[in-house]
Amino acid sequence: MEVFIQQTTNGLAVGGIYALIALGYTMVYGVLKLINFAHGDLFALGAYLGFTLLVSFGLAGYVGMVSAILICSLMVMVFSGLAGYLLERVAYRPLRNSDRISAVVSALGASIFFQNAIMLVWGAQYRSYPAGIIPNLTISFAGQNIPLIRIFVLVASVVIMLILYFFINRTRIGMAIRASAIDQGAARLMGIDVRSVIALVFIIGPALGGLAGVMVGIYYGQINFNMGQMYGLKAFTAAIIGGIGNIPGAMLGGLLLGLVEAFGAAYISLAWRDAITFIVLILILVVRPTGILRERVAEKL
Amino acid sequence: MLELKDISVSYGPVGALHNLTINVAPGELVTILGANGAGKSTTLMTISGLVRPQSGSIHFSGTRIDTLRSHEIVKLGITQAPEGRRVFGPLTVRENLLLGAFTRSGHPREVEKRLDWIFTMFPRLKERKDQMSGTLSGGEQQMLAIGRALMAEPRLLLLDEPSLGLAPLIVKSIFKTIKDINQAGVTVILVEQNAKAALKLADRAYVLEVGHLRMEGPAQDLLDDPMVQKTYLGVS
Ligand SMILES: Nc1ncnc2c1ncn2[C@@H]1O[C@H](COP(=O)(O)OP(=O)(O)O)[C@@H](O)[C@H]1O
Ligand SMILES: [Mg+2]
Repeated sequence: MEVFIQQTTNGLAVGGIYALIALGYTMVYGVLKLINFAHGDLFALGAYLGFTLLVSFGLAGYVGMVSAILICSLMVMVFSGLAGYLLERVAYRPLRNSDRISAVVSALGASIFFQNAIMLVWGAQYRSYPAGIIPNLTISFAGQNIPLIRIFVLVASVVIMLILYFFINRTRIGMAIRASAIDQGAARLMGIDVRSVIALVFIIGPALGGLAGVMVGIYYGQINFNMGQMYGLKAFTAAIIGGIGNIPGAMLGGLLLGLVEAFGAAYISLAWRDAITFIVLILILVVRPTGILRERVAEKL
Repeated sequence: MLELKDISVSYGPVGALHNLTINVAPGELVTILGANGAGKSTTLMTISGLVRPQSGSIHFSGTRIDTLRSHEIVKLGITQAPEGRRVFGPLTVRENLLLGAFTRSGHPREVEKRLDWIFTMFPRLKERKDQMSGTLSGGEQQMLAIGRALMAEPRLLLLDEPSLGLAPLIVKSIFKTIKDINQAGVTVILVEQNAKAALKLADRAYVLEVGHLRMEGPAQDLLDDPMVQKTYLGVS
C-alpha cells in the first residue's frame, strides 16, 4: 500500500510534466502535421533559463521564494515562447511549401543547434536548482507522507492543463486553432489567418514546455544540457499514446505514461524505467497507431 | 463587381487555367460549368486566395485582391462553400456556423441575428445545432457549408458543386435556397456539373474546358445552344 500510494502520486507528478511537454508536440502536429523535433530542446532551454533566474540571478533573494517561482515561471514561458516563435520563423515557415523531408531535416538541425547552444552557454556539466526551493515538507495522505513538492508539481500541471483546455474549447482563438487542425484550407475560407494560428501554436507549445523544464529543475533539483532528448522522447510517446494531434489525449497520455513508469520502476526494476517508455511507444505504434483516442502517425513522420 | 483578367494558374508544371477572363456584376447569379478537371474549383480557390495565379489580376469592387491573403479576402466580403463541403466534422453545427462568422466577432448581436436567419432558412440545422457536424447527412452538410459561408455576411458567395452526391429532391431544395439567397441581394457564383439545373437558375454562364474559357453568355442562350446541349445537357 505504501509503495502504491507513493508511486501513484509520483507517477502523476512526473506524468503531469510529460503531459505539459506532450501538448507542444501534439498542438504543432495538429496544425502542421509535423513533429517539432526541437521541442524537447526548448524544454531544456526553459530549465536553463529558470536556472539562470533562480540561481545565477538569485531571484528569491529579492522577492521571496513564492514570488520568485511565479516570476521565474512567467519569464521562462515568455522566453521559451519567443524561442518557439523564432524557431518557426527561421526553421519551418520558409519550408512551408517544400516536401515533408526538408521540414524533418530542418527540425533535426534546429534540435542540434539548441542542444549545442545550451551547452556553450551553460556548460556540459549538471546544474543544480536551489535546494529546498519548495519547503522540504510532507503532507499526510492515506497514512502516507507525500512530499509537498510532488503535490505542487501535480497541481500546477493540472491547473495549466485545465486553462489550456478551456482556452482551446471555449474561446474564439481556441476554436480557430481547432479548425486549422481539422482542415487548414477550410479554416482559411472562414477568414482565419492560419499563418498566425501556426505562429501562436509555436508560442504556446514551447511556453508550456519551458515551464515543464522549470518544474523538472524544481522537482529533481538537477538539469543537464541533453535532458531534452529523454524528456522529449517520453513526452512524444505520451502524445502518441493519446493520439497525436489530440489535446486531451496528450494530457491523458502524459499522466498514463508517468504512472506506467512509476509502477514499472517500483514493481519490476528501476533500471527498466526508461526502457518501459520505449516498449510502450513501440507497442502503441504497432498495435494502435491511432493512439487510445484517435489520429494516425506512422506514415506521417 | 468581380473581374478576373487573364488569369493563369498552374500546379507545378501542369497548367490548370489559361488566360481566364470573367466578369460578374452586382446582384448576378453566374454559373461556371465544365467537366471534371476543367478548372472550376481552381477558379474559385484563386478568387478566395488559396491558390495564387501566375499571371493576370483579380479586382473586387475596385480593390485588387489577387495579392491579398485569404482572410483579408473574406473580410472584403467573399466567402466560399467549397467542393466536398468540408465542414469541421468533430465540431458541432453551431460551432461550424460561428466559425463562419470568425471575421465578424466584433459584432456579436449581428452574428446572433445572422444565426437565426440561417436557422430559418435551414430548420434542419437548428434541430441539429448541438450535433457533431460529421454525423449529418450529405444534404445537411451542404446546408451547413452554405450557411457557414453566409455567416460572414458576404457580398459575393462562391458555391462549388453544391449538388454533388445528393438526391434529386434535396438538390432541388438547395437550388431553390440558392435562388433565394441571390434574391436577398447576395451575388453568387455557382460552379456545377449539373449543367441543366444550373443554367435554369443562373443569369449568365461560363463554360470551361481543360483550363480554357470555351463559351460565355446569358444562361438561356447556352440552354438553347446545340453544342452545349450535346456536350453538357445530354441531348442528342
Ligand atoms: N492541388 C492540386 N495539385 C495538383 N494539381 C491539381 C490540384 N488541384 C487541381 N489540380 C489539377 O488542376 C486541374 C483542374 O482541377 P480543378 O480545378 O479541381 O477542376 P474542376 O473543379 O473543374 O473539376 C486538374 O487537371 C487537376 O488535376
Ligand atoms: Mg471541382
